[in-house]
Amino acid sequence: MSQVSNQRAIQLAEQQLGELAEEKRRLAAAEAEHADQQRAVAGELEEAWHHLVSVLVPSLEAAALDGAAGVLHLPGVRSVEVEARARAEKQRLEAQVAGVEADPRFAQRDVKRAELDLRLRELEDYAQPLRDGVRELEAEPVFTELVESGYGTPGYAVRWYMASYYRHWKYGDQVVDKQASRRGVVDFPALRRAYLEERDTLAGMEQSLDVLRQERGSLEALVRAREDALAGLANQPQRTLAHARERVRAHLSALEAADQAALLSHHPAYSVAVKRVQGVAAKQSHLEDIHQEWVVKPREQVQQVVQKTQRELSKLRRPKNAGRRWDPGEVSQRFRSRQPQFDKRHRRYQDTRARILAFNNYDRYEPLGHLLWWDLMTDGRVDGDFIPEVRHHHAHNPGWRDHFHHDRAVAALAGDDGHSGDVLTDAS
Amino acid sequence: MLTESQGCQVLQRVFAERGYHVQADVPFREGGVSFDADGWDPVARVGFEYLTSEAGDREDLDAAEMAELDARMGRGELFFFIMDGGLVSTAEDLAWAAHHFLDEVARRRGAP
Repeated sequence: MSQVSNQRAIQLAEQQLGELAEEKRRLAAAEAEHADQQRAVAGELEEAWHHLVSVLVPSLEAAALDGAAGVLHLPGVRSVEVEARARAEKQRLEAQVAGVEADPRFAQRDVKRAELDLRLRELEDYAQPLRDGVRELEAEPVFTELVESGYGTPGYAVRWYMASYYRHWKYGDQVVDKQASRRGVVDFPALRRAYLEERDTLAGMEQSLDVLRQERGSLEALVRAREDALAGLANQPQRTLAHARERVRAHLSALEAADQAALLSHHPAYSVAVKRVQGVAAKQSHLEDIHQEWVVKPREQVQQVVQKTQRELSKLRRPKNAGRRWDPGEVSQRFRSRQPQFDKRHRRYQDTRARILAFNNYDRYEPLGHLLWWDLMTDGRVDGDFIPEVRHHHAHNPGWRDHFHHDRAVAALAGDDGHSGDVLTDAS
Repeated sequence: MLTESQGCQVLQRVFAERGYHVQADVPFREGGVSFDADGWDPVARVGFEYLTSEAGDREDLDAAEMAELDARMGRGELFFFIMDGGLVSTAEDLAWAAHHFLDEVARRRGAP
């Protein structure tokens, strides 16, 4: 076999880099798509939970609460407990309303508000011109330094041979020319005195304004506290129900899936609802599993190959290799196209993902049965041994395929394969 | 803001315009005062010193040396225009200040 020229080897390496770049783009797109999808599935999971807790606690009727407490072994949602908490909450809110209404500031709130607004406006009318004047002087070059150094006072200590002495002199004259006459003064000492007086007066006014604003704010806070308490009383039944449902969710969330099922399996509506929660959670988890296996890991591998190929390409491009010839077997092995593998993996990812997403017959799952959510969702056609839970289950249940075929036959008789459409083209 | 080098150029020019023969970087060693003056006319005994951290000069004149210079300037024995660094933003401002300093020197020496 004839040897491969260095130029040809460079072409093959460049081709491979092009392929790898395209694959990186495809994996990055899959990454973005996955993030969107997981958000959607998280929303679906929230809905499933809402449905489950609504089925378990449909209302605040004593029978509904006591029924849920009995089924879940959760005394915290017994009607007597819930009603006691609701009563305590009602008393607290009523006391809050009464407390505000007994406050003289609340009784006088409209008068007080108008009075405070008027005083604020009046004080602002005095303060604003002072604020403008003080800011204007402080914006003059070197003015603050002149004041701080005591320029124009007996305490001024800068010596006549220092440059800053002349600087103060120059800018002192400038600010007097510009600002003194409008304040009715003629020199820097008088301008300085006028500025300090304005600044001190303004500081006092700002303090008074702060006090008025705080008073105004606390009056509004008082009014808001009463409004919030009244709103709390008005929607108390909804909040009590939501709280009871939150307790139920917290209780169930802390249990293993099998324990959840054991508690709820005797009642068809509960059973269906909890399977939906578990199924959507499994969907979320398996979407993450396949994403890690077929997107995240490959991205790292592709990046490693890119770096290796770039290193080799730079070696091939060295002048000393220009005339070299290479072993064809070695070159074709090293720079072979990986496109078929990439395409196969991508197809497998997309097909499996579509099948998991399309799965919606959560009721087919048997909590204590031999099939996993993975088996049901992928229709038993995708090897999920890269998922530890699946590998372990299949290793300890060698007959799982028989159970699967039985389950599929039953589903076929029922006219339902558990998916919304036949999306799996080739997952082998 | 002027750099020390730019400031020294401005002062060299102004002092020369006013008839002084200022030498650059002159070792000044008199009494208890010892530093390298940025500009010094040894005959007229008038000079300038640029105090900036740029050349590390701040350590050259300590408080005792400044007090001695102040006393000797008070007696009219010599005059140094002291640039208390970083405060002059333009060459024009610096030239204005230097001219006024030299006016004051002349006044103290009893010039008409």
